[in-house]
Amino acid sequence: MNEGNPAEADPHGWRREGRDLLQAVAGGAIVGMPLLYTMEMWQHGMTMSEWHLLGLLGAILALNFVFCLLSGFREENSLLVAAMESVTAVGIAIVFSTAILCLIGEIEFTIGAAEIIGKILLEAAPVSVGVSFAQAQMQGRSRTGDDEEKKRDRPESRDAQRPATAEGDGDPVTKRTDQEWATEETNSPGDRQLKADLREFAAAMAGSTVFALNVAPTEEITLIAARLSPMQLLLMLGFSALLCYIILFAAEFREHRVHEESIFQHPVAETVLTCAVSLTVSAVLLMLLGDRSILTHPALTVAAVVTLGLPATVGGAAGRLIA
Amino acid sequence: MKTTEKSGSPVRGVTCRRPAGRKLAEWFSLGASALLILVLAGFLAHEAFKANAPQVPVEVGIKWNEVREVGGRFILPVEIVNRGEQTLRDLNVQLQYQPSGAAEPETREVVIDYLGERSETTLYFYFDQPPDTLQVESRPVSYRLD
Repeated sequence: MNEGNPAEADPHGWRREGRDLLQAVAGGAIVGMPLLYTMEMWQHGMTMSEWHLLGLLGAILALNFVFCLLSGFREENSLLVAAMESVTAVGIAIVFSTAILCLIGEIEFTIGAAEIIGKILLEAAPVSVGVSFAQAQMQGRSRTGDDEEKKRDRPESRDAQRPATAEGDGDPVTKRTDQEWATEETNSPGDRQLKADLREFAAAMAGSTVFALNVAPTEEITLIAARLSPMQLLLMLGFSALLCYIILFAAEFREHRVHEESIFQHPVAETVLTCAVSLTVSAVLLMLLGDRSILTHPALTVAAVVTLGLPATVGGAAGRLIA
Repeated sequence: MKTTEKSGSPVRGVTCRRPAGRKLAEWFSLGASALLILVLAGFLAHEAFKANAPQVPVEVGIKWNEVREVGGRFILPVEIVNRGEQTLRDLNVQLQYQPSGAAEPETREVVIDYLGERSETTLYFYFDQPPDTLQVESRPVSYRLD
């Protein structure tokens, strides 16, 4: 791989496009997840007429077109470019909505095609907004807050990691005041790491709670948990972990600062820990607010925790992004 | 605030814009998305131009070969199939049977909230006696369209 020139290393743009798609998926998941778990959305999708669905598709494209036009994330921002970006955003949203609806057992081969399309299009509307937002706000950033083209010039020393303090020159995620940097530098790396870990733990817990709280008391959790087989639940658990990894690391939304290297700072370990926090939050919320019937049998309780774990994990990962 | 420097090079820590030209990977994503949307829109338009009568045929069939005895009770599966082109709401299905020794037949009714076009679902009824001795009959009673 050519380290010197990213354009030569990625001549057809597959790497960059892959990262952008992961960011789009992450954005879509964060915005659309609660509505993907809403029964009324599925039912409206089933009963809408074809004309209504065509109008909805047009409205989604128009909404994303306006968003892409105003956000202007290309140097050359014309009507055609905005139209092309909105088509891509809606395409990604349709694929992601289909995947989630299949995962929660809402799309089956025994139901009609128009009904399936209705459900997908209705869910794709909020997801596409998240996709467009992620594309507009995140594309071109790396985890260090630098653009990829500048990445190669970034020195590796810790002093060099300290962001410039000129106004308007700091990433909101990594920006520190001089006092904060001074305090940080007087602490040992272990202390700093512990502090960072605790902050991220709290953020994951808060994010999971916010997302899962919207869904935990609803009937949908019982409905989904009861109809999924153990294999489908296992698949959902794996998908939750994958989505968590995408949001935290693969999409490269933000810098991940490591003060002291250990196995717990490995992306896989952090993903597992975030998922564990989210599943714990799900279990607690289901005990407190969930349908009583899910507590009648351990298998159903576990199924409900895994079901609620998907939005909770997305929330946990999203919470860590803003910590 | 999203900005770019005059030279066009991105500023650290702020959102930078994509270059004007598209690369192969971006064309691929765009092409795949456009194809997906066109297929969906084409299908919906095709379906929209078909005339949908409000009279929707529904079939209700008893699955006699799948009757099972569980815990001293008999479970009878009944399959409901929507053969029409529209989703049915509040589909009422009635099951009538003649218990041994009873003067009048007994009736059970189940309302299915939604049954999509060309979809099927199965209801399971409990009986204390073998259902094949009860002259069981089933039929759809009513539905609602949105």
